[in-house]
Amino acid sequence: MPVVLQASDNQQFTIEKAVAERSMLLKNMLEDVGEAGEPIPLPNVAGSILKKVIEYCEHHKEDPVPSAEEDKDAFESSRRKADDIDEWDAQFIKVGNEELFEIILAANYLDIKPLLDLGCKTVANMIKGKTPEQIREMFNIENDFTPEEEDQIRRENEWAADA
Amino acid sequence: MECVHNTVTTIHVLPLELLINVLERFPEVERLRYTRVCRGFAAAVKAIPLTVHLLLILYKPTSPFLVNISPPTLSVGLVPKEESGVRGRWRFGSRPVKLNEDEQGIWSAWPVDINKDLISASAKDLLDDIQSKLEQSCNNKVTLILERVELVASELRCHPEDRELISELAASLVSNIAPSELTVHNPPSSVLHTLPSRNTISLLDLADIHTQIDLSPLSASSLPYRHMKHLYLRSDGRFHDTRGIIRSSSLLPLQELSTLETLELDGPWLHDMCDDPFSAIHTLSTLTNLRTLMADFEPKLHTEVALANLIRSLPNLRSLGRLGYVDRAFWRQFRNLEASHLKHLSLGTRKEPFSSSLSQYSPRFLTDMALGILFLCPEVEELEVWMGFHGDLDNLLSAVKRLREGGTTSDPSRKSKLRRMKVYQAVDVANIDAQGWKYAVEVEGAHTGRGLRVEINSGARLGSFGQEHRIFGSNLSFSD
Repeated sequence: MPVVLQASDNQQFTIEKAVAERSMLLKNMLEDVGEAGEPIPLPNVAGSILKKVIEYCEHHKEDPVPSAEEDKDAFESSRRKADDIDEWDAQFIKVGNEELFEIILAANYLDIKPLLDLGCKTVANMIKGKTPEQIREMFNIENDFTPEEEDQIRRENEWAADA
Repeated sequence: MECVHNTVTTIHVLPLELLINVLERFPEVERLRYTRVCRGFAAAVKAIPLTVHLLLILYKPTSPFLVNISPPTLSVGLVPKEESGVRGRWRFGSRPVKLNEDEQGIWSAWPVDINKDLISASAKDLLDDIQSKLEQSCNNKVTLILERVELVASELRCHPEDRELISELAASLVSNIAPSELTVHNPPSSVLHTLPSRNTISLLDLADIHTQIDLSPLSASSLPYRHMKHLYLRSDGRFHDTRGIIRSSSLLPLQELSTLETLELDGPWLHDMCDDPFSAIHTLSTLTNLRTLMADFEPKLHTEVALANLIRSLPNLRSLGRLGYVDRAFWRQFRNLEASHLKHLSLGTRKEPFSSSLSQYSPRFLTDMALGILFLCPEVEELEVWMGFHGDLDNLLSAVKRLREGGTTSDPSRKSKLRRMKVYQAVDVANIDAQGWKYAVEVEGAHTGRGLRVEINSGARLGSFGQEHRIFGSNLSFSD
């Protein structure tokens, strides 16, 4: 039985149940309300982003679903190693900053942990080794510290700054 | 998030929990630097508890080792592990001999006066107090991991047999804490008979040894040290006993310790400190479970044949050093792949007061090193080179190029797996051929896809005060 998803801009996507169930949110909904055949509204996800998320879920639909304990272990392991993104995932996540953040938000909302992990890891890789100034420039962040706050932060972390 | 947004999307569309998810992936020290980006980043970093590895030092205030330490300075005792001073020599803020793989973590050395601070404190109270002071000092939540207890027991001038190891209070505290890692300074010969919580110790570091240590409890039938995996015996060779000689037979109990994976004999153990170095090396060759063996070997004194036999006798060995200025006379001892179980090799000789007059620098040391590693130790990933203030760095650069380029034209596929190299006691580091090193390490690495990080230091440890060091190449992943 296919599942119909409706994005915030009313675009509809018909997908296999196995693909939808990569999302814990959708899996629980389908278990709770059964397969009514009605479109499932996803007001927090735009159509263009939902299309990307579905592409990811379709590619990974055969992957084993990790248990909660495995999730924790996998996170611990993945946080130690940021360069273990597989080739397909690396290509998939090569998008602009705006789209990357939207994918992360969608993965979080839909509760797709591997996609969330991929997104966050990608952002971490972009940050790694950069100075605060470079990070601000890359992500269009304004330095919103007052000089006093900046001074306090510098003093608090002085011991780590020289390392 | 309070940062100002332009029309372009910023990272601040992510809620705090997701920014935390991103920043949690960084080692502590690196993460702390990102507090300077903006308030949003600062809030995310603050929300992640700082994991601090604790070195708890129990000392007597009269100890001559502690003259520069006063309690008011203790609350800022946070030090990044990687950068923290002289290995194996404790001082405030230094890094102890360490096995934890999380090299990028933070640790705090916390001295406790056993005559004053322990009067009413239980182990829990003490650790809670330390945690709270650390949290105050870094203005961050702290997750404290007690990693090592260090006993600075007594004064050097006392006769070793006359002194108590530690006070009853301290013994009781150690017993309650039951640390898995323990350092004892200036230990009496009976130290292994009297240590509390023997059966929880997995790492024992006996530093400033000035008397012959009775190792017999290691072979006792009740196996009091049955969980011990790592043993460090460190001495500068100065003994209370005027003869200043240890019996090589005193090392025999090590043979009964089947759990032992790491043994470091730091100092002139295999030189004039020992009555029979050959016999001592023979004992080492029977410790077949060893994965790491560090001692100051000297090929001209101990012979290349004995050193090669040692390597062949220890099939589980992955890390070995310091082999001295070995040249082709040593490498020729091996048939193909006989030394291929080694992944970490330390070559060259440390210049120390005890250095043997036999430690002659061989002009072929570096050239033969490149060929030896390429052809006989092809699995070596980490290399330490102790220059002992000999040779020039251009020769070393040529050796590194040779390793990077691989084998002969007849076998171009033979490549070194080297990914990290540390050079100590090098001369003229300030005038190094930086372009040449940069090319060999970074540009060549980019072409071949094989990352290499090289650290060159004029002293005995990276980052030691007043010493020059240069670093080429970079870590390629978080795990490095």
